[in-house]
Amino acid sequence: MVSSAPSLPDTCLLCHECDLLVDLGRLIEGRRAECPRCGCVLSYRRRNANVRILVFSCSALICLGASTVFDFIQLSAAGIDRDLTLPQTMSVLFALHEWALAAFMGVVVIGLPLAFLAALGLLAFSLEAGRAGAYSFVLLRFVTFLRVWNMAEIFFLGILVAMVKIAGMADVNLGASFWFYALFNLFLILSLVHVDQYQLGLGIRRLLAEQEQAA
Amino acid sequence: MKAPDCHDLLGCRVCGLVQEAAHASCASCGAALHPRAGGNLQRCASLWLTALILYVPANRLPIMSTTQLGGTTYATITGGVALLWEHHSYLIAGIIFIASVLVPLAKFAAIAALALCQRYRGWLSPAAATTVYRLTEFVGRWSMVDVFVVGFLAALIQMGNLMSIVPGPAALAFGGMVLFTMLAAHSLDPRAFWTTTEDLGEAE
Repeated sequence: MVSSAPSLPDTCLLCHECDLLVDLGRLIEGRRAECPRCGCVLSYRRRNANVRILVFSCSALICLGASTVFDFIQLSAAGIDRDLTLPQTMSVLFALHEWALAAFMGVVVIGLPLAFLAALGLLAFSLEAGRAGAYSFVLLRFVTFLRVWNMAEIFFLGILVAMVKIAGMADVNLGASFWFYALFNLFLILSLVHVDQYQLGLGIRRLLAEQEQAA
Repeated sequence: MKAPDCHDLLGCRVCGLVQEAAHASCASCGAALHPRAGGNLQRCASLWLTALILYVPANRLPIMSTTQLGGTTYATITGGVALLWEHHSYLIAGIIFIASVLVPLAKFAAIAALALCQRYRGWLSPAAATTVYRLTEFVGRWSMVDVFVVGFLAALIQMGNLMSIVPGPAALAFGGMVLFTMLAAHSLDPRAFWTTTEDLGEAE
């Protein structure tokens, strides 16, 4: 097993904001530990975190998939109707030669959350099933990186602002995809809330140690 | 139990493992370990400057052009806010003003202050610097909302001569500016606020 620095229990961690060495000891489920010096949340051990992450990330993935299939929004003004699906948002921008904007939105709105949720769900599933390997850390690093760049909820706020902007000029009808995208955002935030780097890392390390002992 | 911070230990940002500072990458997950010396100020300064340069076209050039019944109007970010205010959409005007004007300016100031704080220690109290850092990290992404508004409106409103919206060059400049300020904020190291000059002397 890869152990922490010599003579330190694996429940020790350095606050990532102020670098204070803290021993969390046995952090009880449902409790969170804060840094005694800077107040930063060191770890939040939520109840059944892995199961919840698995459930929320799968739900979010299903809603994201559904949100690309149906009409997202319908607009009618002066006898002209316009339907738009979520993928069309990107393809219309491509057609307008706004490649960078289209690519950026495609990545941030669909691609990045998709990769993030898939990796997170897989990691939570393997931990819950009691399996770990080198791939677990690869997934954890991937999740850590993608988490920073997720902007799905900001895109959603952008849609709401855009709709208020055009509400006076045209009749706006929300399609099924809009509601699926809203639900996707809800589930995405719920799964993000349950992600705790330290608990995931500790979980992987302890599983690896158990596997090593059994072998 | 609480022990004083040790200079020969580093914590992994990905998996939390505490290990000897001699490692270049985490012994357990393989992620790069960041030495305590305190962020990369060169990198932070260059990203900050790039963002500042992009701030000029982002505000001077039109963020979108609207073609309505044959006539085309161009709107800048501030012009758009003023227009919304005139149309009594105070809430939306407020959101856009805060996200697109106030927050970017505050972020430029905050990143500069934090970088100076890392360079000249003791300029801000560690607790105050950490609070500013947390705020900067939190609001960073939310400035992007205006880019999404423009992108979504342009995709949605394509009704020929009746009304069409096309994104302007400022949309890209603004998006780039937000990305670069986010990267600049990431290259700061909050641990440096808590490291006093005496600590660094001991470590050396």
